[in-house]
Amino acid sequence: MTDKVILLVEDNPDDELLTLRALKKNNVTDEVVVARDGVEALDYLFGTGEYAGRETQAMPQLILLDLKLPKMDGFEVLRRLRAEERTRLLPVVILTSSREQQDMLVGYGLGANSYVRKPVSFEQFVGAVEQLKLYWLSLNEAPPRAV
Amino acid sequence: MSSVKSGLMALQRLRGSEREGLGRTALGRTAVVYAVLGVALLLTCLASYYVRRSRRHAEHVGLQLEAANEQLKKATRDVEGANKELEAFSYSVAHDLRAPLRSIDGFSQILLEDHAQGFDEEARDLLGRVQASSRRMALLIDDLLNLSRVTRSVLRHQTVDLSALAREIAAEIQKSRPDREARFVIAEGLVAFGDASLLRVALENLLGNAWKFTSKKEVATIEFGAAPYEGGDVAYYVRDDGAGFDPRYAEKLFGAFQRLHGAEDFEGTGIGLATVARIVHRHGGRVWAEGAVEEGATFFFTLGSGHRQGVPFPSRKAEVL
Repeated sequence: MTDKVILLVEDNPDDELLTLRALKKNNVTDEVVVARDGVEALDYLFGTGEYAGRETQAMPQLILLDLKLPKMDGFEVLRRLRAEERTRLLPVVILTSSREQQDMLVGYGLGANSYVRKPVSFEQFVGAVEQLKLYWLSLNEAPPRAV
Repeated sequence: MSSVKSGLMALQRLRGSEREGLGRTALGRTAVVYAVLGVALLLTCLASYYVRRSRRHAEHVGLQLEAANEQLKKATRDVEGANKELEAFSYSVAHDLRAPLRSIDGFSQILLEDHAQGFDEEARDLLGRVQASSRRMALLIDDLLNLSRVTRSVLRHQTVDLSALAREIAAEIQKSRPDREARFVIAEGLVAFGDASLLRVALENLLGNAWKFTSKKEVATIEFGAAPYEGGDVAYYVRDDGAGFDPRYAEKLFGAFQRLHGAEDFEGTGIGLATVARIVHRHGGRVWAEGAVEEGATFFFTLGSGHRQGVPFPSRKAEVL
């Protein structure tokens, strides 16, 4: 049970703190790995760069992906992880400030499983994270791990 | 001597007659030929001059056309560039301006939750105001984004069932406060020719306003209908029996950030009706309001003449894009 990991891809330290707190408030006990840009996210997933040697058999249960990121944006991260056999089926929830139709279309087009806009109100954000937890970490059956 | 003389004279005669003969025959023909050739040459020259002149003229016109074309292309590029810039701007407004607001609201909330004992009532009230402001600014940003989206989006005309749209919106609005007693009276069969998503935004704003400004009534009635308008046109309207407005300020209603009610009475950013006006104008229509204080308000709009004849507006190309 402890091998469950949530990968949070978020560059804004405030948002990181608030998201971690919202997860904690919802009693999410899974380990949360934070990647602060797109490159770091891919390094974690593929066991490269600073994550060289990571046991890549263990993949996160859920990826919370911000779109606007330094170095490599969320779309590019999504494109690359959908192109790779090992990460092709990972549940990815885009968690962003943007409500631009274009972003939603591109996000879903690249294979995002869900698109959630971060509310300004922290209370609402805690509520949104609760829904995400209930759905993605318990109700939803994750794709079977590749053997 | 005389034989020489007569010989010379004979020769002269001969030459003379030869000359005459020549004049009448070969020389004349040559002259005629030359004349004809000359005229032909002249005509050719003239023709070629005119051809060249008209070609030069055509070239000139062509060049002018080309220049105009270039200018048009440049203007199009400029507009496209400006649009891209606008889009990038709105994108960054949507994304970057909201992030600090989340922090303001979130950390105020954490202070209230984790350090409640350190705050007296006044401090808690102040933090509550900080949060309320951040949420209000988030609303403002969203409304401004909507307004700019309404301005830059390409119109896609189609037949829109306004009655169905209004029913849908009314149902959504009622879900937000199911405890309120409000009656929506929506006329059947109202169809318009316009951009479905923009008309939805317009109706959402108008019906949302009616809902908001009747919130203090115990029982409210909100109506969506249509009335004949000048030139055989149709004026659609949203009518409510709520707080109304002072008709002296009717014109001001449609300006961005213009509000006729204090924030403590009715919340709002003052951008909703400006958005409606822009949508209506983009459809070639008119929008106006009638009302009186505490006697409700009626907002009318037309959608230009295109919808009546089923003829697309000038932006027809947009449908292909």
